[in-house]
Amino acid sequence: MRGRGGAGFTTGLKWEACRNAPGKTRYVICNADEGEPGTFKDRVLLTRQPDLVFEGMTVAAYVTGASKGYVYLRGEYRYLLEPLNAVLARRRQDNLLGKGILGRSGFDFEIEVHMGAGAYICGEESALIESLEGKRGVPRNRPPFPVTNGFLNQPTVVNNVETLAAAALIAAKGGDWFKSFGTAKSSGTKILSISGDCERPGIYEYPFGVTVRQVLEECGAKATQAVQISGPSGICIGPDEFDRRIAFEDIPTAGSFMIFDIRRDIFEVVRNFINFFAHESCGFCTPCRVGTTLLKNMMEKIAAGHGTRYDLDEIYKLNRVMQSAAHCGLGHTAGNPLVHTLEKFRPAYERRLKSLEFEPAFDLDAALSQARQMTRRDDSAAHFDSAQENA
Amino acid sequence: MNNSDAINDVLSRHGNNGTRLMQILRETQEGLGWLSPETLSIIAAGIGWPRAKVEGTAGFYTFFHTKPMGKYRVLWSDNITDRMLGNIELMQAMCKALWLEPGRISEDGLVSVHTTSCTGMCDQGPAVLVNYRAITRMTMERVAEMVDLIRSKTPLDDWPAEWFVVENNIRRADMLLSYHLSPGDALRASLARGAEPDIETASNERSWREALHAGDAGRAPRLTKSSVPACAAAAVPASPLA
Ligand SMILES: Cc1cc2nc3c(=O)[nH]c(=O)nc-3n(C[C@H](O)[C@H](O)[C@H](O)COP(=O)(O)O)c2cc1C
Ligand code: SF4
Repeated sequence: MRGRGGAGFTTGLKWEACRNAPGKTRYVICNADEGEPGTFKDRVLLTRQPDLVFEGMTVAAYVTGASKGYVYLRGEYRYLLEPLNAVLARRRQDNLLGKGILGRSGFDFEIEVHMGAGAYICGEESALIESLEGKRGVPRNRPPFPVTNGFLNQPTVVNNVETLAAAALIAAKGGDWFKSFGTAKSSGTKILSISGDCERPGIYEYPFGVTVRQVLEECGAKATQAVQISGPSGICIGPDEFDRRIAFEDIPTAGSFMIFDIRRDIFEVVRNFINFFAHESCGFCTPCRVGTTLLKNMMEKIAAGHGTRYDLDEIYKLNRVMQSAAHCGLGHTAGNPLVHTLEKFRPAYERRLKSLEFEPAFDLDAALSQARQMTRRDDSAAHFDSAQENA
Repeated sequence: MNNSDAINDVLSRHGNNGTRLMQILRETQEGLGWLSPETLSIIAAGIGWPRAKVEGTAGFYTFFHTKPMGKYRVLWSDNITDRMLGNIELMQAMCKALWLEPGRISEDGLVSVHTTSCTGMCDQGPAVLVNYRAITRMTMERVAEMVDLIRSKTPLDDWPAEWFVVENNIRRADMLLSYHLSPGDALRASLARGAEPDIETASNERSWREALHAGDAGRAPRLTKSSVPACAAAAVPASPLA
């Protein structure tokens, strides 16, 4: 069994680890916190395909031996609570939940929807579990991982909504069928949440391997300057990279796809993202709590026209500290939007630094103009030239 | 029913179980409008937790308030996509019409207006949450109407129903979104096959951040093979349920 792209837990691996971990009770958690800005595909999956998601959870329960499942639904989706509970009630009635599911004795599983309350960090699986236990949503130290020590310290699987829906599909139609979609290393499809500058924002499900260019064409994006893929903690790409593909082997994504055309100021985009991280940092560890605030202050300083090259260097330094010392993924990725765009969209920053790079703060040459007029001179020696002066 | 009865009602619905505190706080707040010091004391006593711990949870989440925030709490989604659709101008117009500053509660205690992180309505923004219910496609006209409804203290249930419509906007459906599952089919297939779906394939579908940033985006939180518990890294044994 291979890990993909050198990273990560595979779903099957996670389920196996949970099944094999010692414990009294096992839990399956559906992560519907969907807090990454620009993402809304889980909302649509839970509206259009709730049975598929719940069935994926139940399959996971069957495989892992879990007896209880939770959907952790973000507070912003409060309006989905009653409809989801109605679906659960129907499934209970149909013996797809409860005791002895589908007549199989010993196969007992219940699902309950828990609401979050407006904290992005609770999308991180260990913070989510803390929250589910009634505590503040602060990420735990890992290891141990939730698969062995999760909810109430019991073996727990945490999966995204889309993962669970896909798992149900695989269970129904078989792995070979599933593999016939997508690329060699990324089978199946990916649901993209598309927003920003395009004619038809909304939900687009593509087999893995689709190019960014094709996506842009199909949603009616024109004169695109940049696309932010996978939200603020993802990557920002410009036109020279639009032939790259959405797939684990190229651009992996959680599904957020925000489009910015040439009218937009990339600096303002990044400033919005940095504010987001500063606001959502849970405050538990210093590198992130202080780091995100410093980044935010720097963006404001640059926006006000007081930024210098020194500040840009500081950003890189701060980012390195946060990447190495922060406690969780939020801190690790909070500097991403800045670092990416500093590389790819540097003029958006330098435009704002200019005034300081060509100091002094008042224009000596202009001040000399009166003297020039009096002496009726306008030759080069009568002008103040900083380059000459410095030489 | 007085306040403490209402709280005890919520508590008993949740079996006075502290691990259900998030739901207890939300349901209490939905009933009473905010979480007063007395409310928190009753809840702490009810679940048998130290009061400070209950307060810690209540204070951590932005959707819980331990201070009154008004009968109407309007939160403007502040993602960059909302900004591009003009949310700031709309919010300023609303604040002006209501004579208040963002983040402050009006003097009569009726209303507060503020921003919040992306509410997941980017394809139909600018979006707001009013008392945590989503409203999409805000315009200047809607702002004006909403201000009137707030001033006249019209209950949210009587606001125009079309404001609360959230579109799916599915533009391209493939295997997941177009599949018509007869509830139970996937389970029946699983039971017949004897447990696990094809693990190797399912692994490709892990969707999220564990796989991110493997490319050009710097370091990410990552579970490496070596950090996987030994039992999982070893050959996968047959399912105990098979
Ligand atoms: C700051 C942060 C926020 C996250 N937010 C979410 C989220 O909203 N939804 C989600 O499914 N996973 C989120 N994750 C990833 C989860 O920790 C976890 O990896 C994921 O739910 C596992 O599901 P998967 O294996 O099915 O992808 C987040 C991670 C971090 C570090
Ligand atoms: S990195 Fe940020 S969000 Fe994560 S634990 Fe530290 S302070 Fe909290």
